[in-house]
Amino acid sequence: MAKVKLIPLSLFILITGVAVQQLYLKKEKTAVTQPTVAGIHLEHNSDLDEVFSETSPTGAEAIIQYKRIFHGKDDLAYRNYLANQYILAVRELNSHREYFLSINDYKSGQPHWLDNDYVFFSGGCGSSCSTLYLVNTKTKQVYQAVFSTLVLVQNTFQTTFADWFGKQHAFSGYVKHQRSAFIDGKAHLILEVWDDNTFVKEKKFRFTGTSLEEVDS
Amino acid sequence: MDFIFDDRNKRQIFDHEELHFTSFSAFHLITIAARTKDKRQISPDALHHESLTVEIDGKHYASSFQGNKLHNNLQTISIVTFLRGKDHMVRLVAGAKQKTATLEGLGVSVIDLAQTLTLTPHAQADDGNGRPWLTFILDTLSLVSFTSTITYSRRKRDSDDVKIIIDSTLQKNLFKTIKFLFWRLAGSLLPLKTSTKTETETFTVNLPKKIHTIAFETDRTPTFESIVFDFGTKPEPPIHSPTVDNPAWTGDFADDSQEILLARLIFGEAEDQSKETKMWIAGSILNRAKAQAWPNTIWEVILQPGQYDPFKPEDPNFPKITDPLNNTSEKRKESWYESYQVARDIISGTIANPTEATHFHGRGVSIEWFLENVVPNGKFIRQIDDTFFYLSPN
Repeated sequence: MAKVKLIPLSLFILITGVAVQQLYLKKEKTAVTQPTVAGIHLEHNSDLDEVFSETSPTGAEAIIQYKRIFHGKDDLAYRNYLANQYILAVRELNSHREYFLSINDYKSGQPHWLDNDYVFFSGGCGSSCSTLYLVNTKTKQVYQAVFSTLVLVQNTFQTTFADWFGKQHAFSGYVKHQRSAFIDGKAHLILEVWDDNTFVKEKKFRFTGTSLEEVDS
Repeated sequence: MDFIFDDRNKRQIFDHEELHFTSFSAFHLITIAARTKDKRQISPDALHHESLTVEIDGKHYASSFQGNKLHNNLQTISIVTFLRGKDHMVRLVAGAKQKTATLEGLGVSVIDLAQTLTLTPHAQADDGNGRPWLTFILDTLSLVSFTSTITYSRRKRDSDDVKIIIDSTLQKNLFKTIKFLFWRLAGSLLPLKTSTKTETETFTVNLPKKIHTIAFETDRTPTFESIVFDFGTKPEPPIHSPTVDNPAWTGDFADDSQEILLARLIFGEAEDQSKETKMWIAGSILNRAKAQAWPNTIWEVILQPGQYDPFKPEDPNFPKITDPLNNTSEKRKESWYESYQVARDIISGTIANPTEATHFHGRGVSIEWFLENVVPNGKFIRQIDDTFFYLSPN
């Protein structure tokens, strides 16, 4: 009798176990193949083009830039599209998991690593200014830096760099390009400074996560 | 016509002088005014007359200033030619033996060449005997006709006279006396009662596309009022210039017309903004070109380093502004055409510049920050859509 009673119980446990396992597996599968935030669902991946990727300094992750594909017809849809044209995600290269990082407008540039936990990219500003965004890939905190370039006299320039941590750096010339590099094992932001059509120098800033410290250029 | 270079510093040229200017690929009018002396005017011992020849971007022009003909009177040579690229040079070369000449001035303008070109020098000749006066060189252009308007007078002893020479062929006047056969206009033939006359005459020449020289020589002091060249059709530039329907970049923004370049800027900065915002952005460029703190041309203002991100090659908008119609959506096409329309109309004056703004920015920068860091002596004007506009004197 006891055996008879045990069979349904065993069946129940078995079925429940399988169901829970399936649910877990489904969840696991979802976590692997589906981004964590609405906007990058990979089942809608046909709406996204991967336009850029860069591997982190450790090689463990890659920053991915997706471009959304425009399907709308009216002006509002187009404006929304331009305001949300690029999506940044971090891909774990071992697990292929992807984590949403930010949605950016059409003026946003390609992302580059600065140390292992931060990426930076340019953004639109307007006349005489440029923005440079920094995003902590773990906390998703966004920092904004701005370059303002004044024309002093004909083809002579003065730039103020208001960095991500509230410090202002002033120097002659204008910033034509920025990049990152490891110098003596430490992450640096490097600004390529020009005056008119002449390269002047590279300004190097050691990045600590809480400050940019200018080092001898 | 945009005046882009003006040198009125009268000076003597020794051996040669090079004058550099920046521009963009377009038809240009280059005008050189100079004097050259004959050897007796230099000194009793001088063996050679002064002379001065002109080269533009390495191209030598046959018309020159010859002291034995000018006798230190003022001659002006105006050259209409297409110059490609950004950097240009006018080289003035004095004679190999008598290495001096006097430069009175040199001006360069960019011209949007239409079917006709009207020049209005309103220039009165120095008082002197027969010599070259004004020379117009049309470089690699066809010419259907030209119409000159000259005021000349009957004077005591010696009156104003004008010769007209087209590609070395003197335009004789068979209806006048043998004495004045070679003078197209002869002041001595004017009636005593109306001793001054402004005469307009059209010469139909139908010249093919090559270098043509229309030279005016004078005696005494007539006034050259104007000349109108009729090319038959709008002269085509000798290179592919991007157009609104085919705006692909040639690799050099200097090949863009001002309208196309301004349209690229508007499109890059305000693709998703309203037409009003586009007009204000266009207006801010024109305001910079007019203000002293910035360069004088739309082309230079837009391409000045550090000023407008879309023109940086690494900027995400750079591929878009350099090829606006490549593989794009209907909405983007509409925005490109609207950008061009705004650029064209505001440059032509069809629509008035709606603003005094010289700066703008989008969202992401605060008004306070921009006022403090970018326009420290300026003021905030207004926000339209997502764009904020400012006026700054520098």
